[in-house]
Amino acid sequence: MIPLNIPDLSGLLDHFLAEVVLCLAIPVILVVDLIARKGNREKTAGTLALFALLSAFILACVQSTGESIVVTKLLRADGLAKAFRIIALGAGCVAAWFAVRGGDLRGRGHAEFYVLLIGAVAGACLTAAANDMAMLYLSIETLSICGYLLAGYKRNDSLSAEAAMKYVIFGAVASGMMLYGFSLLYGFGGTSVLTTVPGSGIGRSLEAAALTRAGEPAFLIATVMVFAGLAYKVAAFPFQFWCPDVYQGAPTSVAAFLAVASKGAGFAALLRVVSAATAGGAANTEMILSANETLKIVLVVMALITMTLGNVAALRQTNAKRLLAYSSIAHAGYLLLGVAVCTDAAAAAIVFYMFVYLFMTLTAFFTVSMVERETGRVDIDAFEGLGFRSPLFAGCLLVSLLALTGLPPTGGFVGKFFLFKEVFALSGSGSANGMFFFWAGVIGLLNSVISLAYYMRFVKVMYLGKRTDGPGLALAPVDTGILVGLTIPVLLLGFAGFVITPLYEVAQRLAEGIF
Amino acid sequence: MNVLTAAIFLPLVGSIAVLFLKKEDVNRIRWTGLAFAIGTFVLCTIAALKCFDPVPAEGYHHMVEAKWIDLGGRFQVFYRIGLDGLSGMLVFLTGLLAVCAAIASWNIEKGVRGYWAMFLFLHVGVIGTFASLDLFMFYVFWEIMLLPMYFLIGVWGGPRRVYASIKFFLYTLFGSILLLAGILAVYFGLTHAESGFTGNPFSIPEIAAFAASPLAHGNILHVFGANAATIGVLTFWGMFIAFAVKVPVFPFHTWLPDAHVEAPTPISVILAGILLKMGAYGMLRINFPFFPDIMKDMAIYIGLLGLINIIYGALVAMAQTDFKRMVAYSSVSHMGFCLLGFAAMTPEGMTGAILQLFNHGTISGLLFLVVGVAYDRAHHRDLNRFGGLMWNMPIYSAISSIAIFASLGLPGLSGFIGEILTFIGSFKSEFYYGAKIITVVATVGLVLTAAYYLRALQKVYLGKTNPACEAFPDATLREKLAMIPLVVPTILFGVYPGPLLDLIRDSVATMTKVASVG
Repeated sequence: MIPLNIPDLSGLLDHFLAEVVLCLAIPVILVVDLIARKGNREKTAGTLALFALLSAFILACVQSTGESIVVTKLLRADGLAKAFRIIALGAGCVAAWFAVRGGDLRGRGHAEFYVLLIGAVAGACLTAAANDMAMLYLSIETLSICGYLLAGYKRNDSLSAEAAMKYVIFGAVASGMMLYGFSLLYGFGGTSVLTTVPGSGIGRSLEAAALTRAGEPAFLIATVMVFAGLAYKVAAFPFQFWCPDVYQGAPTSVAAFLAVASKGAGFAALLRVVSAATAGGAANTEMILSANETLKIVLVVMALITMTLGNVAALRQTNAKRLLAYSSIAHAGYLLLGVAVCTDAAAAAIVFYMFVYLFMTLTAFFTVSMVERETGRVDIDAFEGLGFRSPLFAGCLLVSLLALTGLPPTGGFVGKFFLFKEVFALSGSGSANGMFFFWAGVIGLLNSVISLAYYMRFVKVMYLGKRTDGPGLALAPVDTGILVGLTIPVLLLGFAGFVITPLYEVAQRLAEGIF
Repeated sequence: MNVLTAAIFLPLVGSIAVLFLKKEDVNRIRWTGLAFAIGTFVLCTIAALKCFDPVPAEGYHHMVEAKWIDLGGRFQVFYRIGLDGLSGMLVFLTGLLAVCAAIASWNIEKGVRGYWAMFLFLHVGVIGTFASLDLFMFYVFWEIMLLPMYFLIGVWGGPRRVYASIKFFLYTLFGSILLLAGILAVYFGLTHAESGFTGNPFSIPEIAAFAASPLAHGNILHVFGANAATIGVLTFWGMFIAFAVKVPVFPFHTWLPDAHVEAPTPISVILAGILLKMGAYGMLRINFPFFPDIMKDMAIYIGLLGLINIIYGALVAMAQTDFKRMVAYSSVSHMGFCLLGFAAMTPEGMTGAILQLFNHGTISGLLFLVVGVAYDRAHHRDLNRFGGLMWNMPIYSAISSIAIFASLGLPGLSGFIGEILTFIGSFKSEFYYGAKIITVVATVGLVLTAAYYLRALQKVYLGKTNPACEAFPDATLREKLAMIPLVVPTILFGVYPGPLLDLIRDSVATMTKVASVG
């Protein structure tokens, strides 16, 4: 019987101020919603939610500069947590903005929506910080359950209902597998803690267990099961099926949030689990090394299938949201390839790529959201002629599409360069699998050629189609401002050394010591 | 300020400046665009003239090195540019064709502002690629020109422009991605602790010097251990394909006829005159010097590919009834000569191939202008529906004949020099086995070239004037102004190729050093 241990949270709270703000905002919004005047409710809830998310975002940014790392049995306030918290909060802010301004929630942006969104953001933040399997499971479920409700928020829309249903069913299967994997891993270490807590006296953690037992087949199977569960969160093979339907049916704000925050949280958790499970490599026994190699191969195969599947399936899409869903699957594949490298440098590249991904994906979703508001349509043809009617708007989308493809001079290229530079390091390990990893890198890169074919369909419709002279999209200056604000970093991260270098240094610092 | 840097970024300034003009102010936009094109030409010429001087200590003229992206450790990307004779020649060619293409762009009526912005922006990528001495930077410039080219074909092109533009984009991106994979493999191979390389893993001159030194053990990717040989060969071919798509080398050439035919005339000029040269330049600057030993083993395949290009391109050109398509396939054929010369690795072969780069640039540019003039009058390009143009368009026909004769290699015009040197160099090459046979077979290409060009000459310009063509006016002043700058080097360097030979002498010596390594 393991004694129940209630950790002392007093020292920890300082590091989770952002999450505290979010948790406080939830009751506040609900109460204010009750007392607000009827006509004003929607606006009040939206404003409050935006305010809460923004202040949490600023807090998280400020706190990310601190050097201190606090590790407890439940949570780790380290660089990884800080990095992915910023990403989740940033995506949360923009998603809330979509909900306030966009077309799909008009008249129904009730307090509940924002409460669920904030709950999901808090779940994503905690997922990135979890250091305990139970904690990880709880925070992932917080994120997921809020996500299910958000995806089905348009109750009367059958697509939205279908989306929520699919999301729930796949989610249940995936969490079931993950839980089973956790229970097996618990058996190996006798504890649910992922990484050893310094100063706790006992070296009991998954990390410690991996040092002696990682070579056993059951350990491998358990780890792969956990991967499968997390694959659902990041929308990677074999649990990517929900993604297109959910993105299509869910409100655009929710789709954007899922594409960035949910995926980011999933990758943070994946990095932690992979790091703990491969920690046995330090023991340097042949059996464990070969087991780690097997894990890497599993991840690489998952990555290659994910990106190829996402890119090939996207070729046939006509719905912009569905297309972006497949594109987000493909990006999960690229990032997964980075996870397989299992080094701090690769983790830094992932963090860097996530920052770029945040901007480029949100820009793309922003444009979809605005076109949806103006025309009520989300198919690609709704963008027809925008290149001439709304040049700035179309230019922003163009930049984000080039970045998603990975073309210079955009941040997408630099991010991909950093990421794949680490992937190629795998092939040089001198192992017999070197050739396999080399080809994996090449195939990963070649995937961007496929992706170009469908991203350029937006460009084709916007610029190469019939030249329709009509009024452009009626965008409020503030919307345009935010759109341009999201696009400029994508562009600057592509060629401006004075932006790339500091961001990479931040990413490097935040990713330090993960592996 | 460094004149080369100015030449790279002046078109960028122009591209932005044009966007600030009023959309309706069409003529002001055109004049501004032309002014920037001329300015670029002047800067390119000044930069290229410097390359006649003896090579400075740092190895390149106009050398600039400034830190660009510094991630600590070995990952240091530099803004590193410089010219040698080879790149100087190509930068000059770019400036020259930019002016001719700008003059030929006058009759673009649709979306004039966007066109000129893209047109100028394209040159940033091209000049930047020729000037880059840093792999990362090379790649960025190499890719930057894809998007403007996509728009220039896709928005201002012919009826099948949408198909042609995305095909161009996909093919070249496929190649570029292989180049990127190669750059990453080289980066990893050189930054590995046991690589023996201490320089900057993005510096093209340093890597080339390392590859030629015994430290590289015959393969700059030797750190890959048991896989080194395979990965070395794969990287070599990956990079080769990247450049081969642009050249274009059979079987990666199929984007070219579509893109050339659908593109508006000035863009065809730039495609054929400059973009194809970027591929060949990449091979000379990166592909061969980085892998001298692998190059030695693979030279026969490159020679064979050159042979296929020459014969296949000529045969397909022969079967065309579309004037522009015929000229496009003739480019495939003519770029095959360059491959033949590269593979030979003899001073004569290399000199011929590099001369061919320049001469093909001017001649094919001129030919596309010629086709454009005919198309503007007839609104079709069917070789069978012209006839006897020389009676009512004497000046135009004279220029056309010069272009055609130069292209089929008539002595006294510039096309001849490159081809004859290539054949001589390739025939006496000892670099790979079978060079002599390949060269002999390749000469068949000359006959085929003469056949399709003379047929075109006869059908379009000679004979009785086709009634439909009787009313065609001769070339206008603007058309003459666009063509004559290209006629001059065609005749001048045909009679007296001395300056070009002086310009590239040192580069040829450097490039053929590959043959003596290993």
